[in-house]
Amino acid sequence: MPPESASVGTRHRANRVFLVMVWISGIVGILIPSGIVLYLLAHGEKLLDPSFLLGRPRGTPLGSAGGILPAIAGSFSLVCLGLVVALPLAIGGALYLSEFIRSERATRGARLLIESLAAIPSIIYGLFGYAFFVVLLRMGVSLGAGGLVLAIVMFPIVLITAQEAFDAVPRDYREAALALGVDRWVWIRRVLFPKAWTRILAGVVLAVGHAVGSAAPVLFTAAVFFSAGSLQLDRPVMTLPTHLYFLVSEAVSFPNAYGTASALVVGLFLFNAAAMALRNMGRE
Amino acid sequence: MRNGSLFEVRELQVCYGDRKILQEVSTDIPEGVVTAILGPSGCGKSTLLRAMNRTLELIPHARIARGVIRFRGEDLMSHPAGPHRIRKRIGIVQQRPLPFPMSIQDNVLFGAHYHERLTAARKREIVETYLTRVGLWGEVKDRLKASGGALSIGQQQRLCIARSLANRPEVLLMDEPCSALDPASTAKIEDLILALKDEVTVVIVTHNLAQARRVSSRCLFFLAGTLAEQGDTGQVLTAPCHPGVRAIVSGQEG
Repeated sequence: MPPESASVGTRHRANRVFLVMVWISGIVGILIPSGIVLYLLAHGEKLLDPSFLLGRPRGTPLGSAGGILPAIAGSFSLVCLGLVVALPLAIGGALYLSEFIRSERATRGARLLIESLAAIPSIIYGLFGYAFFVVLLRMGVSLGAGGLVLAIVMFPIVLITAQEAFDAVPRDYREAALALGVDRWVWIRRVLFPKAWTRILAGVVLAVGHAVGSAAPVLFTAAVFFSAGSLQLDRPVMTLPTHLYFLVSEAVSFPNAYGTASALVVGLFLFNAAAMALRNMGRE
Repeated sequence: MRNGSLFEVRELQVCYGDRKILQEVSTDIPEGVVTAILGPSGCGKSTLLRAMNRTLELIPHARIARGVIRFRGEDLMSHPAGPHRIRKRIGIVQQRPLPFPMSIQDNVLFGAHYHERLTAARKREIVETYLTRVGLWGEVKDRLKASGGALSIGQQQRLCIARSLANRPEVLLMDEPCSALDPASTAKIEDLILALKDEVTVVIVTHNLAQARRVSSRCLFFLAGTLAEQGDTGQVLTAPCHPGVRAIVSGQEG
């Protein structure tokens, strides 16, 4: 056999092995998340019960009956508060790193710090939030303190994706816009943002998913086992992940725990779908 | 002021970091004629254009190391008008058409509306005037609110030219404006350049000798960062003195 056809045969085999491996990884990648979601939904028939979604926890032990509305409202308002604080800071920071800073060394240094911030385990944020907001600033265990901790959780994620979004806009656009004699603010507002916002949105989705699902940051700073559902900045709230944690760790009610988990997952899914729809609208 | 020197470039040296991109460039660019800047890729043609409308300073590490560019007799870098007004007066059209993410009409108005407050009637007038000027009005007048990115590449480049013209610049610098275009679109842009030359001075960078011959009456020929030859386009492209230029000109002709 001539050497060329041997190497063609080897290449053909390698190609097939590669194809099989890619298929396996693809299937695993689809099976794991869909398996988890299906499992949750299969056990989360409580989700279909309006009194579960719209009621307060009841029963003895508390949570074994009734619903999770205060937890839904608490998680929602914590994330909204966190976003209101984190979004302007993160986008402003990304803009500064991508547009204004001149020294490459300073950019790299800042990026290192921010990436480290994103890598800190969320329980550390929880402890920091407890020590700083709850105790030192005397905010107490409250919606306000928890919202600020979630802002810190979301800040580096949004900042990193926003900076990457800004950097992904070709530099030629910057030159083309500024070459018309407009100032930097016009370029940022009318060209850079419209070009970058869909990618920033993807970062926000990621950050919100991370924040709404973590129990650790809010466990010591915002969450209580039961609240009647009043949402005030200086009062504690219930949240979905901590409620889930209490229900399971105290073995209160497994059907209600699955229901809570399903509500969390379905809520995130709806949020992602809304973000995707918004993004598609932006592309048109 | 017609046919006086619009730009005087004296012993210009431009560096990116430590690398010298342009050296010892001295030339005059007259008003009211089309000047072509020729030369192989990477010889510093685009860099000269950027230096001429102060967009060079937007590029990290780029700087004018020595020499001076005077615009209507005044040093460009310390011009009292400042970079924003200078860039309005000295427009540039880039190689790749880059419509902004907004409607066709907003693209045309992008600079114009920044430099002066425009009434709705004046805006409509500007949009129609400059889209007509670049021969795009008939093609897009029914979809002025459509995105500029939805146009064909050739139309996009004409939109970008309209956007620059709507600033009412005194000079239009064009950086290989046809390199991404098909022959039909290229012909349209060349016709446009010839039609524009009575109202605005055009400086066009190109590596296409035939294009330079069709549109320009003066030309500057760059080789490896130095200005190898300058003069009337006809003379430079038929009987150049510089041996390097002669090699390129005869190579492309033969």
